[in-house]
Amino acid sequence: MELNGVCKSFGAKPILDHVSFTAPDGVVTGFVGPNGAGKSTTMRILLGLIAPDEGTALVDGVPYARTASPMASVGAVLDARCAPKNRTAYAYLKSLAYTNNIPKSRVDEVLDLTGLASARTTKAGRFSLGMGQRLAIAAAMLGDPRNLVLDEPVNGLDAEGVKWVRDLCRNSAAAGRAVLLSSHLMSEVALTADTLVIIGQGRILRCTSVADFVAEHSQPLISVVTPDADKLQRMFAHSPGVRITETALADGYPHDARAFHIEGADLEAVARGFAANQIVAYRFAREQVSLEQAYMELTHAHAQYVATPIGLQPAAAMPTQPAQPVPPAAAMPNPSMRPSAPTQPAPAPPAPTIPTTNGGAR
Amino acid sequence: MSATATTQPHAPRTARLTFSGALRAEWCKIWSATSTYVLGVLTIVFLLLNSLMMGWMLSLLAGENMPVARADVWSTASSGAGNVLVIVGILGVMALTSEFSSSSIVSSLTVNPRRAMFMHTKALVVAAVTFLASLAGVLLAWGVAALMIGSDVTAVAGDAPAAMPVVTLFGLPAMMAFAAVLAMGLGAICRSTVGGVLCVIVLFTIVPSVLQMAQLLGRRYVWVTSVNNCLPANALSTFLGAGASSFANNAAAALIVDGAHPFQPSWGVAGLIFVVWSLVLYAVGVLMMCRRDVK
Repeated sequence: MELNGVCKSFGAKPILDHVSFTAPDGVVTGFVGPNGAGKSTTMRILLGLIAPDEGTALVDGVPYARTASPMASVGAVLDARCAPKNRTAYAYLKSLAYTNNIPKSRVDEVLDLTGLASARTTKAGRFSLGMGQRLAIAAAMLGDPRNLVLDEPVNGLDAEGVKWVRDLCRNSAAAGRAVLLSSHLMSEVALTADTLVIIGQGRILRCTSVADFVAEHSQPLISVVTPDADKLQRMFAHSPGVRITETALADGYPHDARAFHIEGADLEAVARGFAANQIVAYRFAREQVSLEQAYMELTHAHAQYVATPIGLQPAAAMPTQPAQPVPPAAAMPNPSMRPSAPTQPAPAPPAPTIPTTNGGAR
Repeated sequence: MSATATTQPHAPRTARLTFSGALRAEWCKIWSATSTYVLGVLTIVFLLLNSLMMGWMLSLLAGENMPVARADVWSTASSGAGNVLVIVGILGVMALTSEFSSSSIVSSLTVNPRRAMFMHTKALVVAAVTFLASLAGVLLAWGVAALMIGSDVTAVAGDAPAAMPVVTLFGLPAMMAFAAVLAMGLGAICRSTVGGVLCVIVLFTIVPSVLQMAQLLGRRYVWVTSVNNCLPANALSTFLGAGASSFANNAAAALIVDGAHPFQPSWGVAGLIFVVWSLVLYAVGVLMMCRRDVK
């Protein structure tokens, strides 16, 4: 599946600006971007539902509308609520199957496959979001397609369903199929995808492999909670390569505690330094800057819909304001990636991180 | 999800998009919608009820020595056509707009990206369903009319035109099928059930009523009456008359504006005008369906 120089505007509003990328066979391509970035529009252009103003979208080398066997070519999940409310799951799938001359027996197979066999006579209007998502996946699987286009397929699914979708993507890619998987959650895509296409405000920001993206953005840091903030600052006063950032303090620590992130320092050296300087640590843990944070750094400036951080609403709306957290961007290591708009009072909240060790003394 | 993704069974590789497959899918879809049954039953009921009322009225007049012609039996059978026109219009609109309101248009056009084929198969199915419901309705209506006023028919009043039975029993269902296709075209233009149904009501009932008032304006606006005679509802009425001099047709033919004769198509031309209306609006709908984005 490939898009070449695709541009699209709705009225005067540009949606996609020269979007080009390829989702090759045998690979899960993660397509990530914030809400309103243009992911769904791109996928709909690929499937011929929306006509591009410029550029081409090809599936197996031809525009999708010219494919002889659409359901064998692409299985698509674009909307969890795509089945008419008054139609049963079986009737819905049967009508889709007939279009491409797929036998009724295949409908039963995909109902079994997606765990909807017991709901075959249930009307789609009674389905939960997760069941609707399963039904959409069942519809996508009807033609045993060579390519999968999945737009936020795990929305509403339970843990078992999420795992099943991941397995489906991985196994489909292993079987040589091309899988284009969109999500606004980098963490979800990173677990499944091989390559990443990151989009923001209709522009492709990065095309890279997940491994490269992780290697590029995973920076080790040490999270500490200590009452000896002054000693800590003095300890690193002559270490220009080390960056100390104060973060929001979680509940449950003594009143004199303050939380910090230490970046660019060796774990062992810091631990020995704490001992040598007799710094008390309520918490001492090695963490990594998460993929999600790196992704947010990359896309935050391109996010179309940015909410006011909780805690920064007008006083009338929140009469008591015990804490002043700031957007996650405030904790970003690279100042050039920070959005310019909101004021950022200290201390910063803890960055979304993946703990790798649990340590610290209470 | 009960099975793992690794053990998924495979669909046959013979799966191909075909016109017959798409037709079968549309047939399956239309019968899984409750509105199809409701509107189908309403079509039958309205044809029957109108025939009952008209038959009852004519049987009363026949008792007062008004001669009843054979053509009056057929006119009575088709007297509900004007009302049913709106019902089949709603059926035609909803067949398409329900896909937009439920978002199922996305999956429909994903499995069948050839939009013209999608529209043609849907139109054929809508037309077939409408034809069958109208045929059932008009057969029942004819039976009722024959029972109520058949015995009052006198040779003095004259015989019905030879084409009238065929026009009533098969022409009416055929025109209703075209009306549903016309409405489907309006649905494709509006993409909303409310908008489409409103268009149907405006075109089939409100515009003819408004233009009918123009005959009060005299010779200068006689062309408005000519236009009115060519609107779908009036063209249908003329077609179903089949040129007969019946009670209903005489009332319709009395539209003479200030001594001037507006254009009054013959029943055959009127039928043709109705079909042209249907095909033109459907073609516009298909064109818009093919060109507009499905967001």
